[in-house]
This record gives sequence, structure tokens and C-alpha cells, in this order.
Amino acid sequence: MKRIIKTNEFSVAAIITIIWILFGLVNPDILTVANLYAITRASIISATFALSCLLVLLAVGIDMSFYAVGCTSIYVVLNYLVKNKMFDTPLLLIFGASIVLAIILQLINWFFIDRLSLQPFIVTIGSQSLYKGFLLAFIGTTYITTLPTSMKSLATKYIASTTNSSGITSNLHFLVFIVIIMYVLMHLMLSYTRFGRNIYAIGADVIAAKRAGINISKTRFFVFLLAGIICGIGGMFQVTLNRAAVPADLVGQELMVIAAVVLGGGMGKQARGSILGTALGVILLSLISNSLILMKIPSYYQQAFTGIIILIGLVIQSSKGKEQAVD
Amino acid sequence: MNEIVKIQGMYKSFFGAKALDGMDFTIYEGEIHCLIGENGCGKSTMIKIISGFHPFDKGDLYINSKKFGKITPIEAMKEGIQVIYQDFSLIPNMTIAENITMYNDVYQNRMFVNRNKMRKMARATVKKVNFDIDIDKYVYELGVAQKQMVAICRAMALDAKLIIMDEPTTALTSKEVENLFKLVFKLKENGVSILFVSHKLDEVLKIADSITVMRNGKSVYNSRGDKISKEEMVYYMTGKKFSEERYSYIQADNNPLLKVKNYSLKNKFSDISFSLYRGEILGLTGLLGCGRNEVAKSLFGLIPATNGSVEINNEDIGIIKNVGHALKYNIGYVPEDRLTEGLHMEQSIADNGISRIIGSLVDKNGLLNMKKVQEKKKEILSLIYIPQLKPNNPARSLSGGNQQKVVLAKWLAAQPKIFILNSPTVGVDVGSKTEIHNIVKKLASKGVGIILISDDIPELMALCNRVLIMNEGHIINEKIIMDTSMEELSELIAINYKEVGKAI
Repeated sequence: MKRIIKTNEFSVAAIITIIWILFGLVNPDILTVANLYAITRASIISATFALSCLLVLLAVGIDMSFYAVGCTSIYVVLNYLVKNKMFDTPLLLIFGASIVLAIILQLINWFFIDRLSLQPFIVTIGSQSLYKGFLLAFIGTTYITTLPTSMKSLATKYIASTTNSSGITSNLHFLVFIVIIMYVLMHLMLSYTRFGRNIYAIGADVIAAKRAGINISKTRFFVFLLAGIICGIGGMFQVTLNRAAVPADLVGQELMVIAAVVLGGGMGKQARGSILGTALGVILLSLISNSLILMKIPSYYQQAFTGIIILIGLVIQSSKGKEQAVD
Repeated sequence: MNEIVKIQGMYKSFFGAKALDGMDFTIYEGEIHCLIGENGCGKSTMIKIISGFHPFDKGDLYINSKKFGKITPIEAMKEGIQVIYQDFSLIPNMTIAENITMYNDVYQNRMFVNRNKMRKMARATVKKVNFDIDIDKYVYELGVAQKQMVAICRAMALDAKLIIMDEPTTALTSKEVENLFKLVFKLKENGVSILFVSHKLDEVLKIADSITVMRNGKSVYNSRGDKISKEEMVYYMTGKKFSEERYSYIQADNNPLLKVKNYSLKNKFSDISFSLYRGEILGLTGLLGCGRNEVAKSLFGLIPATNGSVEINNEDIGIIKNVGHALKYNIGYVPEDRLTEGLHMEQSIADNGISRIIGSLVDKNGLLNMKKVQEKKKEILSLIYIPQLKPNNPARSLSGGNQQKVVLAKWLAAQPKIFILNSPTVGVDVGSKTEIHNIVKKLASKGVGIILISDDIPELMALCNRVLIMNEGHIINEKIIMDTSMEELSELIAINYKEVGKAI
């Protein structure tokens, strides 16, 4: 029991509970099922990208490019489909194309980071800018609002709904399911496969990992490959939920996702960033922004408030680290 | 007896620099073989070749009587060779159990990790070496000695036939070293060979079945069971005869330079009183954790004492409040950990040299006088001898011994009156050690009062004229070096006064 209380997941969960109850006291709507649905929906996109971010963060370092990768891939695909009026393209094919493109873009990151031994943070800032600029300069700047029919129907696929007293219906979106499945798979991979443990190992100490006989380049290659797959899926989710592909819409929101992952314990040499922690981090940040909207607080305050929560979370984490470090 | 590893005529160069130059080496089953040599003699290169980390250029490598043209780390592991590096190469964000079984998983090339099996195996291994610990703890929670135990367990989990330990005792207390040696003997009984790489010649004499001395990439001495003295080892390592002349102190002044009265710091030390005279080298020793570190730091104002007072040249200055206060009275301090406290590792060697006195090189207009800076840099670096010195290289590029010389030079430039040296030769090779000793002696003979904190008894014997022995925060004994012996000193240091009762 003591072990559980000491974990990072526990402290994030505690913060979530406290905030939820406090906000609920101010505005009871926050405690409703409808709001729960709204929060899960709001979490889908960042939760997906957070997985990619976590993976790269654990293995090499901060990735600033995941949104740009996902956004660029899906926009390139849709732009092609719309231009050629291929509105009947099956959903899986669109997913597939988006994923392939995203993999290529992430492997470019891998090349610079692994093959040329460059700093991940700097490389991904560069590639983020490159991908975004490439998209706007060569592919297009217009909003794509007429989506293929398969995507349109996915956009309104709900698995549960609830109607409140004033007659407004809230829905639990189908994609939440997919996200949960992805989280479970990722958890299994990180905890129960050697590949997963190799990721932790090379993230913590490359030389030690090399001495253990781990193939660093290969492990990183698969990390970026997986990150590409997740980014492709994330881009697809983004367009589906917003029902429009907007170039360069996502860039700039990376920091929120990174913050969520870091809150979940994904950063630092002693990081044992877990999937549960990441999920909680994403939920916490979605909860805050969602609740502040419901309480009609202007968005500037929201940003400031989110910043405070992130800092508090980090302070709690680091004070724990100090307690435990013996030497 | 079977040969585990045999190396014949091995050559290896890095970018044209010869690291191994016709090395011969053999280690047999079930022996404790010590490998000694100065920094840069090729010890680590040889270890890395045996463990498959570096390929070699030319020569023969036999492992378990099989010839290898080149060997990968995984093949080396399969042959039962395990290296425990100085940094242990553990993964901090994994549990002890995960670390112990990690190599096993890698070489068996398993896809999945069976947590139950993993913990079972870890528990069995931990038991095998009598290591009492919770295997679900994370490695970053452990102390140095425990980390080392985990690394040894990791090797044992793979049924290692040869365990190579690279400077295993550097960070251990003497009690922990004892335990390590017990374990090493136990491993030997089980038929495991140990290749023990060390700087500490006393330890080598204590445990070695056979000794190989390396110099300039070659084996220059190889013993199997026959006796070799420390002086001979040093001779083979350096190719030079070093005879340490004792520092002879002649009291010139009856007034103490420094008088410490009832110095105390809560929970660390209490009632520390002593005097230091001009030209004297005063030793301060005791087991790790006895408070000697804290006394040194408090005298330099790093952690101010809570009670007591200090007199310098008969002037009562109270407690030394901070580093600035200590500097005002010309106190210098060479810290224990030069990596984090002694040098600016990324800055150039020359810049490090002037870092202490840079304030005095400023012109009236508040800017640095670059001409003066250049002159000073040259002057300071001429105080020490570093072979092939490139003043503009970062301090990181130097070996441990040479780094320590830069630390000393930096302080020499500031001309301290009182100089506190905290373990100045830990992790320093024999040649540099002698040079550092000579610098210290020269300084003392010029009238500087020196406090030397060290647990290296031969060093205390060679340099000091008096030694204070600390235990549990108190000075419990004082010895004039002329009236004592190495044996007596080490006994006095090691006595557990709690068990003996407050007899003294």
C-alpha cells in the first residue's frame, strides 16, 4: 500500500480527484456523466499523440514534432483524395496512407537523432518547422471540410449517450475505445516485452544498455516507427473529430501533450513513465481546460491555471525523487 | 588448470595512438588475478576487447580454448565473461530484479518478459551471494555498495566464469571493501575467476593469486603466486624508482597559524579543537562518515559550524561563515570530488587555472586585462607538469591525476596561507600522486599550514608530521608520525569505539 501511495500515478490521480471535486462544488455540471463524456472526447486527440510523445521521450528525449507529423500526413492524404474526388475511399485505406506517411516523417527524425547523433529536442524543432512549412508551401493552405463519407460516418459513431434535464444530449465517442485499446497494447508492450524494457534501458543510460548487448539503433528505429504509426492514427482522429483538415492547426499545442506526459512521470533519468501515468496526465489537463470553460473563465486564465497545475505536479514529483535518492 | 582467457601479441590502436602494443595475458580458472597499471596504460582497452566491446587489430584471443578472430558482447557473455564497470552500468529506472535478469533476457533473445520467473531468478541469485535486499526496489534508490552488489548479482545470474571488476573499491568504505573481498573469495571457491583492476596496491597484495602489471600497452610483469613488494609494483608500473621521502617538519614558530576551538556542527561533529603551525602538514583521518569531511568543509565555510571559534594568527574570527570569509583569511580548499566541486569541466584548462584569481586581473575600467590574463595563465600552468599539455582543451580531457594538478595550480596561484586538501589523491595514478605529494611538501616548506584529509595511510605517513583521528564526530586520538607505524594507525582508525566502550 505504501508503495502505491508513493507512486507518481497516485499523486496525479489524487490531484485529479481533488480538482474534480473542487470544481464540482463551484459548478455541479462538472460532476455529471455528460461532462465525463465531454472530457473523454476532448482527451482523444491529445491522448493518442501523448503515446507517441511518451515513447520517444522514454527512448531518446523530447519530441516536438509529433503534431506536425500527424497533421501533415493526414492533410497530404486528404488533399489528394479530395482533389481526385475519391470520396468513397474505405476508412482503412485512409488510415493506412496516413500512417505510412507519418512513419516516413518520424524515420527522418530517427535518421538525424540516431545516425547523426544529434539532440532530439533540436532535431524535432527543426523537423516540426520543416514539415509545417512544407505543408503550407507545397501542399495547400485551405481548409478541407468535405471529407470522405467513411470519415464522416466515423465522426458520429457513438457508443453511449445521455440526455440532461435541459434536453442536451452528450455522447461517448467510439474512438475512446480505440484509444483505450492502444493504451492497453502499449502498456503490455512496455512492461512485458523485451523491446519495452530495452526502451527504458536506452533512455536511462545508453552506454549501460549497449554493454548489456542491446542494439541501440535498432531499438530506436522501431521506437520511431511506432511513433509514426501512432502519429498517423492521431492525425486521422484529429480530422475526424473536428470534421475538417486544417493545415498547421495543431502545431503549437505540443507543449500541452508534453506537459501531460511529463506529469505522468515520463521525464528524467529516473523516469519510469508509465502508460497509466500518461493517461492520467492527459485526463488532468483535459479536465482543467474543460471545467474552466464550463465555469466561464476566460482562456487566458485557463493557460495560467494549467501552468500552475503542471508546476505543482512537477514539484511533487521532484521532491519524491530527492527523498529516494540515497547517494 | 584451464585457461579462461588467453591473449597473445595483441595490438590495438585508436586513431593512430597505440593502446595495446603486443599485450600478453592469461587468466586461469578459479583464480583472482589483479591487473594494475597507470592511467592510460591500456587496461580498459584490454577489458573492452575481452568483453567484445572493441575489435582488436592484430593478435590472438582464446576464450575457453576457442580462438576468436572477433567477438561480440553477446558472444563474450555466452562464454561466461562479465564485466562490472566502475559505473556499474545499471539501469536506474528499473528494479533490482529487472537489472539482475536483464543480461539474461538479452542473450537468450526472449521476446517477452515473464515477471514471475524474473523475480524468482533474481531472488535465487541474491540468495546465492548472501545479499539481503528487497528485489522490487528501484536501483536509483540504492547506495554505491548496494549497486555494486546488484551488478555482481547480474553477472552471477548468467553463471559467469570470469568476472572482470574495474576499480571496484573506489567508492566503497573500508567495511564495504571487506565485504566485497569476502564475496570475491566466495566466488573463487565456486570456481569463478576474478580479474581485479585496481589502483590500490595494498588491496592487490591482499587478494591477488597472480598479478599482471601493464605499461604502455604491454605486460611488463607477471607473477603467479610469487611475492612482489609494493615498491616493485610501482617500479614496474612507472618504469621509475619512486622513493617517497618523508616530509620533515621543523617547528619554526611557536604561535599557531590556525587554532580551532570547540568547533561543532549539529549531528556531524563536536568539540573539535586543534592547532596548526606554519609549515606543518596535519593529517585528519578516520572512517568514512566520521565527520572529517564536514570539518574540512566547515573550515572553508561551505557548511558553517554552529558552535566554537577559529583563531588565525592569534586573531579570533569566530565561526567561518561562508567561503568568502575563508578566502579573506587566505584559506584554500581542494575538494574531495574534483568532478563536481573542483573544476569547470567544460572550460579550458588554462581558464580553470586562473579561475581563483580572475578578480585580480581586472583593470580600473572593470574589464579583464587580457594581456595579464594570458601571462597569468602561462605562469600558473608552469607550476605543474602535465605531459603534452594543451591549455585550450577542456579540463574534461585530462586524466584524473592531471585534473587534480590543475586544481592545485589554481590554488597555488592564489597563494593560500592555510590549505585544506580533502582526499587529494583518490583515483589518481601513482606517478601523478608522487607529483602531487611533492607540490604539497614544497608548499609546506614555504610556510603554508596544510590540513590533509585522507584515508590513505601511506600518504599520511609520507606527508604529515601529526595525525588527528576522528570517530563519530570527535577527535579521539592524536599521533606524532615519528612515534607511530602504519599498523598502529590503521588499527586506531578501524576501532569501533562504540563496541569497545568509551575506553578512550
